[in-house]
Amino acid sequence: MNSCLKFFNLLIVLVAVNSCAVLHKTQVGDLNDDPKFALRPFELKVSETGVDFEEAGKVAKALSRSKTAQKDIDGVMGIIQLFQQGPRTGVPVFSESYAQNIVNDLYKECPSGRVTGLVSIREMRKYPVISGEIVKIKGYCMLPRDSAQKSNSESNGSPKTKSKSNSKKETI
Amino acid sequence: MSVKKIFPLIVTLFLGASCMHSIHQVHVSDFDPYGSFESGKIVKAKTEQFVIMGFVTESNYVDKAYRDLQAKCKDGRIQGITTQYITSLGFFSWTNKILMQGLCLS
Repeated sequence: MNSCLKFFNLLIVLVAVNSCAVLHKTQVGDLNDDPKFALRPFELKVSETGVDFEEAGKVAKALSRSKTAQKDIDGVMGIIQLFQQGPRTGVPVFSESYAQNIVNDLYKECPSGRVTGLVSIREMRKYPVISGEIVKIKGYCMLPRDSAQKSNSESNGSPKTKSKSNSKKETI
Repeated sequence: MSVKKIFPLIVTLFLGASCMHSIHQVHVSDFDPYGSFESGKIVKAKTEQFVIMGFVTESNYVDKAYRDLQAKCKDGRIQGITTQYITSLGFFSWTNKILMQGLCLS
């Protein structure tokens, strides 16, 4: 009965802290609608797993039975907080370089460099304890009208999406 | 405290105390005037600001990154500049970082 109650409490905590996408920042660039060019939409996404140690500590405390263990967890969390000082957007990640190749990815997506209508999005997918810290770039590659017709017939005009995650294949 | 109990705490402490980072912003500038990837070269500039207990050590690090980027593409044009603002968290201190990258067309 007691363990059932604990599991129920844990479920409530999980549901209460669970949420989905959180937008931090977005920016828009200029839009060139030159009639000589067709606009092919594309989307680049890189992500990294963030770990919320504060939340992990709360979960660990909720799961631990003894008062001593709870006290130890508090102590560890206190030390961790001392090592994680500074401004933060979303949940901290272990890698700072996961978005560094986005400029190369942009040129891979549109080698001609004729890119317009860029939207930069910094968002987060929040789950209990972990999160997906996402950097997303949306834009249009300007293709000369004749080559655009060829590529449209090949790809059927669907937006091209490229996603990359440093930690896991699928963005969480 | 038994080893069984202390081990997970040490692992958590080790992970949590290791350097963690937060990317605040990634901005991509406009690409006009357009140039292909082959016609230029990628230039980068990175500067940092160390902050200890709220006291800053370098207050013009963004200007410095901007000037460094300009210096790396003399007599040329830089298109598609991506600017990343990152903070590396630390013990009673943190480091703000600016990374600017772009394609230098000469």
